[in-house]
Amino acid sequence: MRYIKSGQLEKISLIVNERRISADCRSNTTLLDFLRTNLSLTGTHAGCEHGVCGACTVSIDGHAVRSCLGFACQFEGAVITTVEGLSKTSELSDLQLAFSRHHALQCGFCTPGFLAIAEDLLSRSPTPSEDEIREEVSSNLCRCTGYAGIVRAIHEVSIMRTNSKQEG
Amino acid sequence: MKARGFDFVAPDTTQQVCEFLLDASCESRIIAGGQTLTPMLAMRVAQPSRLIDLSGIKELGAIDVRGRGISVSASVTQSALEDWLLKNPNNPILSSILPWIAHRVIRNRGTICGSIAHADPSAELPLALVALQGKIFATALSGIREIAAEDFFIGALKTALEPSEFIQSVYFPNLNKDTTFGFQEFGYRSGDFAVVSVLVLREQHQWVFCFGGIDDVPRRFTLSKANAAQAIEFLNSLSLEITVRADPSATSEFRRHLMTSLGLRAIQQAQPQ
Repeated sequence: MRYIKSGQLEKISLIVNERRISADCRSNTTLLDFLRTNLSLTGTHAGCEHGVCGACTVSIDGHAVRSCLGFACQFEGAVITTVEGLSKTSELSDLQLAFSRHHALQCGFCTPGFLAIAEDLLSRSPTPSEDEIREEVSSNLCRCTGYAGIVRAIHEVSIMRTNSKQEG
Repeated sequence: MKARGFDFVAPDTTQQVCEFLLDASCESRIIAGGQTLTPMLAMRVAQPSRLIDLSGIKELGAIDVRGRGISVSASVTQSALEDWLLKNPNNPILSSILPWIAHRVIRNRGTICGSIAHADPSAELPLALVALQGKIFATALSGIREIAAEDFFIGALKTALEPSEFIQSVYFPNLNKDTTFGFQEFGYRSGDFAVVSVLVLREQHQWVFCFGGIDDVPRRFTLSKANAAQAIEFLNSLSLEITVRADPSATSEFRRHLMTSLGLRAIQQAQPQ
């Protein structure tokens, strides 16, 4: 049983972008603040900080989750992927490239969150319909694009991945 | 938008949870998925001095087929049940309503029992639990108490749960073989709370009408031995007779309108094919 007193620093261990990490946090440090401040992973963006905008969405144990809606101490041992970990090489991932091609971002503030929910959707439903994609991206706010490019980018990646799977 | 400091404890057993709940030296709140509680903490609407985290307790992670229904334990997320129902399609009402709860990204953390414990008047899970006449199993150090859904919700965000208790599991009965149903909801945006939601069950000898969002708790009405035309007539008079709440998001007149228009569609959905 773990007990963290209010205000006390406590070490937590978790895997972030395939690296084992131990760092101090307080009981009321959100996972969002932990990633940005304690681990300097500022690709995860702090928007509304109460679960509405989705800019802070990351992948936790394979599921897209709002990092502002959890405290770091709840994620002891979790496997987390942030936007910094989406590509294993220095190149952008296929999804990131598709976002670029389809102008699925303008200011880019919301993009890390959209990438996280897109990966979650594609892992569950490799060939989503446009309606499914629209339903999924309705959880996150984008004020630049009007969503059309985001929907196209996700749709294109779903086709590319399915084709390469069939060929491979 | 930062939560006040609090003690955080992640117990290993339900016994330890109960012991912490009994400790009167500080105000404790249970946290599982935290999809409602965390924003409340951030906005300081809630300021407990201790959070008791259920997510690490192995025995609270189960979905079990029990009798003629399913039992869902405290740390089961809404998306976990959604995915489980794809493989075990024995409760079509739950399969229909789950996608209406917020968004997938919220359901990935939000729990079934947490939604029941929060008791929002327009939430989908309390509505389904009341419609199906499900049960809540509340655990305290003194033992487990079984609470009928209709006795559990006593007001907006108010339940029959004692401070020493927490919800260990909830039980959703399956539909009878010859029961059909319809579910309709209106909200302003995808993922928003319902302004009004309607669940209609067409059982062998009666109709069950359940409404979310019209009162402080989900409301359930029955009409026995009636055909669809009589059910529609009942719905129309019901919408005029009962008190319907108003708030800045919708007047009571609009909610009455939604009761009948959504109710009509739900009756049509509930017609056997």
